[in-house]
Amino acid sequence: MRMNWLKKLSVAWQKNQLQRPELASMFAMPAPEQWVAIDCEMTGLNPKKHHLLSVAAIHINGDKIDTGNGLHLLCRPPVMPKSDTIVIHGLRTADVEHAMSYDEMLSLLLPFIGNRPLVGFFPQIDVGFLNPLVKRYMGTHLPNEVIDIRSLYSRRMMGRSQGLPSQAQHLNSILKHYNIPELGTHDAYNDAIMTAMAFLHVR
Amino acid sequence: MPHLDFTQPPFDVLSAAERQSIKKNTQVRYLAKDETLSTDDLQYFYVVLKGHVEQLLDGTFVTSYLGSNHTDHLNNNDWFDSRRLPKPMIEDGLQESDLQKDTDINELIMPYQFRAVEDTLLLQVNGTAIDKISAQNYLVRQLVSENLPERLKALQLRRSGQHLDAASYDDQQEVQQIMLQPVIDITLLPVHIVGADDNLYQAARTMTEAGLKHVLVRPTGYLQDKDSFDRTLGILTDNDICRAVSDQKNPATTPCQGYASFHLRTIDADDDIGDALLTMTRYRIHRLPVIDANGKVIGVLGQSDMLAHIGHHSQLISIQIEQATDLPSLATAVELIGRYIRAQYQNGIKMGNVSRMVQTLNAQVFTKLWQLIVPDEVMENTCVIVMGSEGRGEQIMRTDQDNALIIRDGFTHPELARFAETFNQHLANLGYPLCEGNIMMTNPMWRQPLKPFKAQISAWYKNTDPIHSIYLSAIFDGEYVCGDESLLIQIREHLKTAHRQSDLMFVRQFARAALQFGDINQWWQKLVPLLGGKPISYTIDLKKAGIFPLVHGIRTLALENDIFTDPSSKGRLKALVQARALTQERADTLLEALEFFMAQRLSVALSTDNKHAQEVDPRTLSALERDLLKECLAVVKSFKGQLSRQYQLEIG
Repeated sequence: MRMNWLKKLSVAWQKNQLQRPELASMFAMPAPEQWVAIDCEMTGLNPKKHHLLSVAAIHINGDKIDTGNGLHLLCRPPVMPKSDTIVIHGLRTADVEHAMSYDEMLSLLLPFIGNRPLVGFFPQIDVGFLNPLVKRYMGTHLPNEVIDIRSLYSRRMMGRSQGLPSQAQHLNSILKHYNIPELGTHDAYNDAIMTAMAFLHVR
Repeated sequence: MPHLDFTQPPFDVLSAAERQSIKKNTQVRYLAKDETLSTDDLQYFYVVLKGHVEQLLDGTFVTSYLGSNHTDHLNNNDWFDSRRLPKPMIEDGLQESDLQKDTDINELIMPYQFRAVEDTLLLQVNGTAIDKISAQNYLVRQLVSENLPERLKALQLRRSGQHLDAASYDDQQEVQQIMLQPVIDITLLPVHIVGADDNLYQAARTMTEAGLKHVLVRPTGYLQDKDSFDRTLGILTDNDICRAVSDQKNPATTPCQGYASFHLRTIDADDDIGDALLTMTRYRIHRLPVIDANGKVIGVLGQSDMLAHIGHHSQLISIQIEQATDLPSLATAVELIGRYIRAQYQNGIKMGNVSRMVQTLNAQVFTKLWQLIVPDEVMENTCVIVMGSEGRGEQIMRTDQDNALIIRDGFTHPELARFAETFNQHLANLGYPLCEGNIMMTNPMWRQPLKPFKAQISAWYKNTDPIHSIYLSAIFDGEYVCGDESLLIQIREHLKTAHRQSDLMFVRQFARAALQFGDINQWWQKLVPLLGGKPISYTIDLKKAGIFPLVHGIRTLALENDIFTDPSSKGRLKALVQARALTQERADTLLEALEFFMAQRLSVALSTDNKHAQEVDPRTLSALERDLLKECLAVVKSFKGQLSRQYQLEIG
């Protein structure tokens, strides 16, 4: 992948803002055939009002998903989850009150994702939650390229059937389409694995 | 987002279509700490994903249900059906007729309350959806049944370690329950009867024509009226005819009477195969006449037919014991018993059958050992008995030996003390540890002639020392091993007589022991997580919490109802039902609970290789086992309640 000059410029400027030199490699050109699938659990969808609870990240190398060496981190949010959202993510106060701080989480997550493009289902939401934290932590937003499997899927399906773009809003319909197995509990880690599987189908 | 996990019981036995239907009817539910389920919520079946719910009745703690954060196992969440109502207190062994089915009774029953002890995440499944599926899927029905024996069956099935699915269930069931099938499932040999006055030639012809190696013999003076039972029949085998010929008798003039054997062991048509096998093994006989409910013989069960039917190898162990000529060869046979136990357990064979078979094999070992040690005259003039759990046939792991020697009045032998010492010592070497309470024949108190033995028993009934109750319990549970059985029968007779002469308060004192260990339901209440850490580990002592109160309570009821012949809890319960002291249903429940505790104890002992292990940490059990453990502890609790009302033992 070639970077255009504008992108190079913004990367250079971002790098300038970087307060943690040990993370400079995040700005390097990504190697081909390497991605990282990510998924987060939050108390809601609005980064201004809601909080991050857990993050999962799993490497994809070529056509292999490195499920054994992924990250799955629980964080302590500034405000404990409310009962109406607990039934969605399943994380109770007791599960997160002794969890790690956001900074601890980032100190593990950022070296792990490095310069790999981020693959997710509607990853703009996850990145929207991560960026404010990342900015506070290292002075810049995430420099990584972001790949949304919804748009890859829609592009795949173009002209093959009707009304897909709206359907593609659901991870489940993509999973179903490719016969991807439902993995036990819906936590961030399992969702990241399923996202990675879907990605290998639609890339 | 949490959702239904189909690898978690009771949902791991569903077909694809059933999964779809359950999925549609499932929601996730959250209860904050101290929140309770409302009345409208009591129409669901719940699975605790995370957290801790306690069940209360009228504000009193009943039990707890735990989520995955309280166990190290996968798919081990507790479940409960919030629609279950408390059972009205029917536990005093009332006969059904005394219970007027009252239409209002259901309206009087308060439902249980369910309260979250910590923040809790639940799956709630519509009750109607669960009902629909359990109506069509036997395995689900078993798992969520209100009926304890049903759920225990489900556990046994799972224990057998075979893959579960509804389709293969029938084959499974057959393997599991083989020992429980009625004997009449086996092809019986046809009945041919000759008279005792008929000659051997006629008997031989009857055998030849029927293609049999035996014929049944009707004793002389037998009248064909309804009071005569076929139990008085004798048997004449080809072997007997062979004996007659070698005695140079003329078959045409010799009646069968002199060569037939009478007083046969028989078996009832509704007994199960396990019982038949036991009888054959214990008495080393090859043919059992089968008697129906009217006392009529309907066929003869042959050993080879039965063995072909079950392909079981306890017989082989029996032969090993039989052929042992010295200690080392006997030790090999004892080793086989241990392996047999493990195999039976792994095959999910019902505990009661395993333990009784083990009792039989052990008795053979003891007999053989006694034969190896003592001369014939000692054998004929004494009676070796085993007591305690071994006597009741409820000891599976060899935890200790409890035995005694009853000596015929007037018989002496200078070496008796040494024989007894040798017997106990050799048993210890064979892996039957010495009894710490010294209830063994090497102790002179347990090695006495009949008269002083009886006097001793009478003294124990005075109960001036708590140890006397323990001694009496031991001798109540006494079971014959070898020697002169009539000596034991006289001891049992005396137990009855001496009891009649004892203080009326005796039974109350005796019953009290069943209540001596605290209420274990405390366990679930103690399970409070430490700050931010794991809960403290508590274990339940299966013997104190379950086995002992049941066994001793049943023993007390048996004593009071003059039941001395069969000391096993199963036999006592059967006799108590006959005496109308307990309902059949109550007796079944008590026995099921007892066997569950025994099986758990065996499972603990087998997993740790410590045969004395009897402590179980509920958090290490599967959800189903934990559910049953709770239920069985509830049975113990209500039984204790029954005892304390019956014997007015208000616990101060």
